[in-house]
Amino acid sequence: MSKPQAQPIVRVEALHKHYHMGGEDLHVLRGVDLTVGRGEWLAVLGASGSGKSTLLHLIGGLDTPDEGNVYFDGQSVFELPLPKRDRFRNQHCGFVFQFYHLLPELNVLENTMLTGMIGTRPAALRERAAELLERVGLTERLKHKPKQLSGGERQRVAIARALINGPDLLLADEPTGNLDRKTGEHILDLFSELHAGGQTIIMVTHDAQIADRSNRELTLDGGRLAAVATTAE
Amino acid sequence: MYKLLLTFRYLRRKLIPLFALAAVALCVAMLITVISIMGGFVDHMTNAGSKLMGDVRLSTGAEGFPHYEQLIDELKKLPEVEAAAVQVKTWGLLKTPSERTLVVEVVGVRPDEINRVTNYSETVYWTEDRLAEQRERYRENKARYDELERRFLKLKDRYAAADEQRKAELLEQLRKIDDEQRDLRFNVIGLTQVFDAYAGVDPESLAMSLNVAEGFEKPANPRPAYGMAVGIEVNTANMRHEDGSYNILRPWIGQRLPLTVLPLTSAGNVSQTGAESLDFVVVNELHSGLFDTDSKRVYVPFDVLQEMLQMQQAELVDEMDPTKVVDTSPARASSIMVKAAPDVSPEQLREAVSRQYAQFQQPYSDLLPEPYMSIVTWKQLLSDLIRTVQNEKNLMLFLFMGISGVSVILIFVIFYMTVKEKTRDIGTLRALGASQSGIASIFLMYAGVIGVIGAVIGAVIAVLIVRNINEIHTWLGNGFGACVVIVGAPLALGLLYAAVAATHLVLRAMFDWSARTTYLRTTLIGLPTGLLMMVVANLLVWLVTGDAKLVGSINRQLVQLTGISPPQSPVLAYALSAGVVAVALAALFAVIEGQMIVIDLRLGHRSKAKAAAMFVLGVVAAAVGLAVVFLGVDNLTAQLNEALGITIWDRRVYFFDRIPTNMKTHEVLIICFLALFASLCGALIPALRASFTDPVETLRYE
Ligand SMILES: Nc1ncnc2c1ncn2[C@@H]1O[C@H](COP(=O)(O)OP(=O)(O)OP(=O)(O)O)[C@@H](O)[C@H]1O
Ligand SMILES: [Mg+2]
Repeated sequence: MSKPQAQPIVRVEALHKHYHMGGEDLHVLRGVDLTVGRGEWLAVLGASGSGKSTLLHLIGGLDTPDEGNVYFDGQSVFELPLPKRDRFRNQHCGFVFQFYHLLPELNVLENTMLTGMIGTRPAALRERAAELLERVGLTERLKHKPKQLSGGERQRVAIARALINGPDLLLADEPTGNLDRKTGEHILDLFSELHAGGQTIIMVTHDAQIADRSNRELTLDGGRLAAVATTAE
Repeated sequence: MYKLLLTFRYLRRKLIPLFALAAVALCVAMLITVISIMGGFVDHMTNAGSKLMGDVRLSTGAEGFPHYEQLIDELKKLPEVEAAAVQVKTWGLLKTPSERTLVVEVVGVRPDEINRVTNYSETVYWTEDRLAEQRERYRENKARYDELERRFLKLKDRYAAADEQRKAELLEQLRKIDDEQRDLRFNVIGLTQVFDAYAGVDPESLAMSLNVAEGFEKPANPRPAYGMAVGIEVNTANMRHEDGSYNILRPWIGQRLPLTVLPLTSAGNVSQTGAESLDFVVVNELHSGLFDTDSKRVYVPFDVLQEMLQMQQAELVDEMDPTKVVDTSPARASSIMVKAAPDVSPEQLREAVSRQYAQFQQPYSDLLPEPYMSIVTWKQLLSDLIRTVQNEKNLMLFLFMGISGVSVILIFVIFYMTVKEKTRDIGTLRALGASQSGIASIFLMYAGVIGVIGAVIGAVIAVLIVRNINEIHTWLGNGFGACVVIVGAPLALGLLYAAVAATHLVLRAMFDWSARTTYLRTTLIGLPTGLLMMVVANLLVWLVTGDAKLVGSINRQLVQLTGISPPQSPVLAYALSAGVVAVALAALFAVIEGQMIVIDLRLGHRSKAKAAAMFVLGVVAAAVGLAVVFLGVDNLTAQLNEALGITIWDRRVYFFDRIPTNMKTHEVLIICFLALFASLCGALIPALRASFTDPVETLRYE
């Protein structure tokens, strides 16, 4: 299924992450190496607590590693000063979370526009947001508050929000984890569509069936990444 | 861009910003009101004091002192002296037209002369302008009266034709009309008398001459009489309105009133001839704005009073043979008022006058040396009052500084809670690429908006209060009394609130009653904050005034508020007052947080357990606070009455008949900017905390 990557967009090198809690040292990532090519849809599989979310946050520059580095288009993410890293995330990464994380005070349209309003506001933001919401099938709900939406609808708003700045990379952490299977399928259909349009996606999940929708699968185990095909069976 | 959007969304969605807004507005309103009243008071006093009695006064007892004309001539030679005027002063009995006898302070003056030293002419009440104004009122009242009269007559006709049952009803209506007519009738008749009396005469020139112009007195009286100007409050039928104008009901203008005084010999004994009586015609009234003066004083011509008191230069003649001179005694006066030349302070003037007097009195054996002749500035005359005001002003500033400190803390608590509540959203924003400074500025902008709106609302409230302070004061005094409003209303509201909230909470929290120690923190913050505030406030007062004793006395006064008798040692007083403030603040915090949680609960946030625990804590703390208040409730109300000066603006104590105010634009602006600054300060730490929120931490949970 995997094909050679012509242009790597993300390169992760020897990433280590420890957590210290009450004197105990938890070595979550133990030297993760990863290269993701432009246009790939990568699924990272792993048991609960294996460090999938941690890896995703590190790739997006939300968290800092203890060792190793992440290169985005050849640029070292962690060499950027903090404000520039925030800006980089705003411009190049789109996050989708298991629990949507929409702002309750804002309506659907405003939530979608939010990423655009942070940083340099792109032209015709409102039109773009409306267009994206139409694409995820929420045209009728622009003025609704998140509370008035179902889980699947909320996740679609979150995806529209993640896409508004035209990110190079979509980072999705269990995007279907909180949804029933049928709704989850709809979300994955949406991902497929995006992927078909050339969107690079890194998706984290513990569900092999969901991971199968991607075009490349890796597992995170013992703090390291391994190819699914070679380790399992 | 997203910052503005979120700022306004946060403002709109929550009840809590209203609390912060109210706190800022209240503090601003309070501070502006206090500063305006205090400023007005000081200004007014400085003006009124010197205007009313000149800068320096020389006086002896009621027996008076001789050689005043020469003394005035000598004083006028001093470069420090602009003008000087002589007075005779005594107490007398004035018989009113309604046959009552009043004790009045009788002052004999030469109006032209006294007017150069004091603002006598400015206090003259009846002027052409006033007459015009009263004519307007007359027309209005007359029209109203006539209208009532028409209605009365119509009803009377109907009354005659009515059956028994209807009669009772009509009678009631007739009575009502009659009641309303009564005051109008007096006013209309009274004003007619005044207009009649002043027909063809200039009221001001009458006041300046204290003579009775021809045709002024009606009915004309063949016996000649002298003019008298009467303080406007002496005639109690002159009813003062809240706005300071007077409703004239039974005026004395143009009426002849007998005045009786008791002459004293130069040795201070009662003269053998006994009391002297003379008729005076009331030619005008005087309104100085000092209640003390306006309610007691009458002015008559200097020479006339001097003669009544047998203080004129007299050639005492044999009774049988009026040409035979037995003895002579020099004329006497009771006091000399001196006005300072421009740029000369009352103290400098006093120095100069004392020196001059010491020289002057030497050749005269019948003139007392300086220590016995009292030579004082108007400030010394009013020193008790000035000291009281100064003390009050200090205490007020101190108290209100503390209260403003509380509003900073309140904003801090409110923002701290808001940030805590919004942690998840803050993490989301960071994940979407918002910078730390961006997050901080959301909350600072939030505080800025609250500061600006709060300051504007506060300033508007203050303007309304200050403009209407006299009406408010009357209302407080008449309707409820400040005790009711200040102590009773919050108490009643608090009890009502507690009752409602307790029922509500007990119902909801019955099954989940675990106290959370984390919420003790906010309450406990109050204790060290209170201590810190006291230290800072004490230091500030000490640094500003440089008066360590004052710091001690303020602390003792604060302790007194609780009903505990304050210790003499300043250190103990300080420690006690700091403790009191700390406990009070902790109680306040607990109550505030309890309320916020109840509100949150209504909105469906937060766990019942936390709310219940907080409420219990709040009630306990409030009970402690209330106990403190109750223990010292007498003390507290008395102190409040005095400190706030709104209960009973006792006109006798405070000298002025109205509460003086002086609102200065720059002070208002400074206070508004301080409020903005304070709310930004209060929000600073929570905003920083928000900006340092770890996004990863918040994203891990639902
Ligand atoms: N701040 C922290 N302090 C201590 N331990 C942490 C912290 N954050 C994460 N961990 C631990 O690191 C490990 C990896 O966490 P992570 O959230 O990345 O796992 P995950 O693979 O995403 O799990 P899940 O599928 O349940 O979401 C877990 O064992 C977690 O307990
Ligand atoms: Mg996870």
